[in-house]
Amino acid sequence: MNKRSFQFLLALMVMASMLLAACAPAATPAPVKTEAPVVTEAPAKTEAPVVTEAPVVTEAPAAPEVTEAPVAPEEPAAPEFNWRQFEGQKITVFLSETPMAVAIRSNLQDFIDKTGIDVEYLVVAENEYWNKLTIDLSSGAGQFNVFMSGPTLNWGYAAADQIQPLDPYMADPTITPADWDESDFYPWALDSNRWDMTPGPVGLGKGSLWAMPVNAVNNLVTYRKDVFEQLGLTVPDTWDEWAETARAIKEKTGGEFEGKPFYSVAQRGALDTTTLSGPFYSGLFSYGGRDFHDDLSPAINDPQSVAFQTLYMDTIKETGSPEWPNMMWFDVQQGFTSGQFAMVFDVGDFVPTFEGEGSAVAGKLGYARPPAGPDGKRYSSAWTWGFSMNSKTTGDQAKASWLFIAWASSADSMVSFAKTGSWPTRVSVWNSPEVTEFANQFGNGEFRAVFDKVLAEDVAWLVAPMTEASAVEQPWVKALQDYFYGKGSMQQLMDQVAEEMTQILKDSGTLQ
Amino acid sequence: MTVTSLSPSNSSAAPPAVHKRTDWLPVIMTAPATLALIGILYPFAIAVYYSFTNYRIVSKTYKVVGFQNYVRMFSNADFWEAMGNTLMFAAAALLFELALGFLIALLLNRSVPGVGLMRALLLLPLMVPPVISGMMWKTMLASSSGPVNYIFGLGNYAWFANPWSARFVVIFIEVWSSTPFVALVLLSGLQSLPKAPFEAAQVDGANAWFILNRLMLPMLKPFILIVLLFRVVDVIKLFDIVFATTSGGPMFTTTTIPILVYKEVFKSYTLGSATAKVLMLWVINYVISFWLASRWRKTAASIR
Repeated sequence: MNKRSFQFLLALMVMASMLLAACAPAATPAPVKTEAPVVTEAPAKTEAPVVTEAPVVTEAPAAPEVTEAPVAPEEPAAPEFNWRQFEGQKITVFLSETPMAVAIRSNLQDFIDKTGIDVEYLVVAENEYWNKLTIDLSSGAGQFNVFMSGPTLNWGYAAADQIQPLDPYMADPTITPADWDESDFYPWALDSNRWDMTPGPVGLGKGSLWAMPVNAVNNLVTYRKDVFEQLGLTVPDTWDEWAETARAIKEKTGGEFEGKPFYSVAQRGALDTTTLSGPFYSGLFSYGGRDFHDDLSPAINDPQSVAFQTLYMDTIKETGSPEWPNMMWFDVQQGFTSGQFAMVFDVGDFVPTFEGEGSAVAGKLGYARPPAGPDGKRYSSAWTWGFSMNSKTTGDQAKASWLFIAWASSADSMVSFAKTGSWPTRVSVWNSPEVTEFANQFGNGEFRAVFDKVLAEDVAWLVAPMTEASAVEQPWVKALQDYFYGKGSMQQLMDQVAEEMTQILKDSGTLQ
Repeated sequence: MTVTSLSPSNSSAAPPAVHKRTDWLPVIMTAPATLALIGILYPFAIAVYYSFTNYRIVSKTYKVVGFQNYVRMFSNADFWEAMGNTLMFAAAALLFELALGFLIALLLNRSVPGVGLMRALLLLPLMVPPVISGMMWKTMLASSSGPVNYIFGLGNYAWFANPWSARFVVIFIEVWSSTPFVALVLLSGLQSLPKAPFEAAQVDGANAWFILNRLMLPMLKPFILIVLLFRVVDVIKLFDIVFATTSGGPMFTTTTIPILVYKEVFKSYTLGSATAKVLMLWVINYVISFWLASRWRKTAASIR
């Protein structure tokens, strides 16, 4: 055989093997197909009421056997849950660097030991987290099976079918432990993660569950008790008092305390949507303002909205740090911990850091409920960190992913997580002896007593759900910064933003 | 490609055998380049297409909207402010980087003790990723706890809260992190210059200004142009440093086009209008780079 003939023969063999491989029966895809119904049906269920979704999924795992075997109708065997039923599966979890992520990482081995499921995880800083996640979901790459998420972001992902509803998994007794009690969750925690795809305030709390809440992020006032006592001040109970107290601190300290620069209030202000998170919305709604009306017309330029924003911004301008336009949430946390501020209205997750080792203010703090508005309304705008599942995750991997979510949102896990400052979304966990003892160490029990009241009476999800949530917040944050620099009156600036918001909603087709 | 017999035709002789075979060698040799070209052109073509659509990455459908994204872009004040910032940062950063880089290169071109160590130290900022540089300087310039205010007795000055000082800081960090690159390229240029003209000029009594202006700068021009080309392409895309320090604020005073595009894509999800802005930036970058590259070719040819 000469060289050319040999090459020809070799090429022929390669082509033949490729052809054979291509024509081979689909032996490996078959099992995937049998499991497919769980996932292919999921997106279609997004608009269906939760209750109708459950039976479909409970049927799914049994489907392959039923079609083959003769009907065996008598008594169906009671479904059995087994933590190790997906042993050997591998899932990828994506985490944003938060107290909850710290908790997950330090307890992850428990899940691996319990289930035999291999978990790969990636943790990145919050800003990078959302970028990476958006790219993964929108490109359909499906790199992450399970990822941390919360209400605002879920709305966009849900509308684009990038995540799947969790109700079917939750309702399936073969993959959800019997002691995993749905009724144990705070109703607002689950409701804030439900949406029926109707843009605006009317669709919230209805429809499918898009993320399983694990970490409850709620707001309260934290203040320097030592400073207040020294200056003879009382804790503000209303937003008007909050502003007056801030001015009094500025006057009495002259912007200096213990020889260092000292500011009255620490609030978020960077050119980022973090500025319009829970603390801001809590104040806006307590004061009688809001973001959108039920018909999706912007409400940010309504008289009460303008009144609150003027009060809030004037107080920050006069008594806050000049660095306000650059302050992210971690700057607020860091600044207060280092003793630069007299009071902060922000999330309870910061408290373990405020009171932790190395903090300049540990042991000097007092706590109070969110300030009330002129009508006595008092809100803490809820945010929850939870877990969502990628809609590209299918079959046994999806069920293994759900086991991870079920584990992370179980009462036992939440008790461990709470010790990092990841406050629970379950009533029983908040009231458990371990968490009670942990929370009681802050402010000699004052933090727990106040947060109890916040959880019982003040928490509500307030922000209007829509896929354009973060888009409409962009010009809004910029307008607040413009006000800080004296570029116009609050009414003028909010009127302009309202027009921009309407245009954004029209461009996306949400408004006609 | 076909190979045929080149022998003259001869009617009496039997027709020569004609071997037809494809010569794959040129195809195989150019395949990597072709694949790379497709890899570049395909996303580019897709980007051009998306710029004519209302594509949102959280929407299942989109439609072609013609030139709407471009018309809105040109009538949008935010776009022009971001474009102004982008060009201002680029111009200021290039000016300082070139001037400082040249001075440093002149200093390091001398044979003095410790020059080797200084060259090594010069590389340090180059090894720090821009986003880390940004975070590092943000900490150093913090109003209450930053060492810069403490060392220079600036009290509580908030560098990132004043629009002009925020702009200054962004340019400063960019200059800090990229000047070593400019200095290194110009240093290698200085070291490659022939010594004879400089020695002759000194023998003839030429002063330093004459040597700099009539000998050194003209001979160094190809290096200046090539370093400018690299830096322009990079600095017009300025993102990391701004993102790590100011996020584009206060207000919009440090927002560059890449920051604007980032916010449109990842916060507003409007990929269609964002790609229109990216393409606008690409046009500007391409025109400047093309002009610099053609100048470089002419200069290099005239020196040879």
